[in-house]
Amino acid sequence: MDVAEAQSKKIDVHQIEKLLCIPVVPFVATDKEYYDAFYAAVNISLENQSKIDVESLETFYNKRMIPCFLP
Amino acid sequence: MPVGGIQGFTNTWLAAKAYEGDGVVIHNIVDSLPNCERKNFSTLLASVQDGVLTLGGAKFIWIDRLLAKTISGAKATQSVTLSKFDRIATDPTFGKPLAIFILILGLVLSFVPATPIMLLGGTIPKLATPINMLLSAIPQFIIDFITQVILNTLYFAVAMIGFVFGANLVFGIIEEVGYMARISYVFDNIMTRLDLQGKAIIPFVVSFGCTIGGAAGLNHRLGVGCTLCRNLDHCASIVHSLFRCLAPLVIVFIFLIAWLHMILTAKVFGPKLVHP
Repeated sequence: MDVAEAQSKKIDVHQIEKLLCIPVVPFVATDKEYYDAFYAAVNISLENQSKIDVESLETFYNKRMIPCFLP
Repeated sequence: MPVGGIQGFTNTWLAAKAYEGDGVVIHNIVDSLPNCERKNFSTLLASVQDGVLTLGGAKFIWIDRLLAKTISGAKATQSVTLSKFDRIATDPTFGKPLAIFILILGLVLSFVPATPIMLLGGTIPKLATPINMLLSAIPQFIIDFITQVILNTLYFAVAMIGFVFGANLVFGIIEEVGYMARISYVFDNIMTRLDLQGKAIIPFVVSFGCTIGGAAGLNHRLGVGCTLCRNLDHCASIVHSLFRCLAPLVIVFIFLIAWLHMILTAKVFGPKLVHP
């Protein structure tokens, strides 16, 4: 996030959450203030058994890469 | 490809892994296919070129598309550049000697904050004289126990506290400024062959000065292991008192045995340790 902010980028975390269906946490690895939110998100994911929605990736694969392998 | 997938894995996932050339997945797919379709599958596989790269590239394209919907305000002309130090510190050639130099320098510098505490510990045995005078009425063996055993043990303990403090302070600073991550990056390829992460080079380097400290340092960043570093001095003293002028040969022999032991262990158990 710090690199993105330095480049004046704004990341829509909630939008990524919606797209992937898992918690997404803004994070700066060198700043320990972010760690609590990260661990909380991990715990919530474990409790809710959140799974990433890979449908869009699979659709992408099916269209572009590996149609010949599929039934 | 089996319509319902195999063992809970979707057919798209299986197809992607097969495209990447995953041997286990390919074997399972072939086993699940009827004989008449196996040849077609093998022909398709043979037609794939650079499957890992192609699929990896596809993943990045997918990520780029995903992020394109969620990131705004980027300055197109701005780019991230490494500082000159970063370029040297992460250089495959110069990064390694620089890391070893900084680690050894860190070990030497750790004696700077340690020295006052160690000197303070050094004054403890000097209490033997006044204690001798004060306790002259009690049996001599009790006085000897206090002045020689207890005071020397306290001296050693305080001196070790100083060294642990210094080593933790200096290596803590190196870690906090972010240089440890660069060491980890530079040595990652080498240490991965031993099934370790790059940062494990630190106890390896420290072990040239103190095997016990280096080995114990694997469990913690570095410092705790080095509490026993000065044991090497005592070992050297014992070796010297027993072997006199042959002491250097004994030390060389010990290192030779340790080296051969490492090679034999790697030969016998290496494959099982690295690729379980």
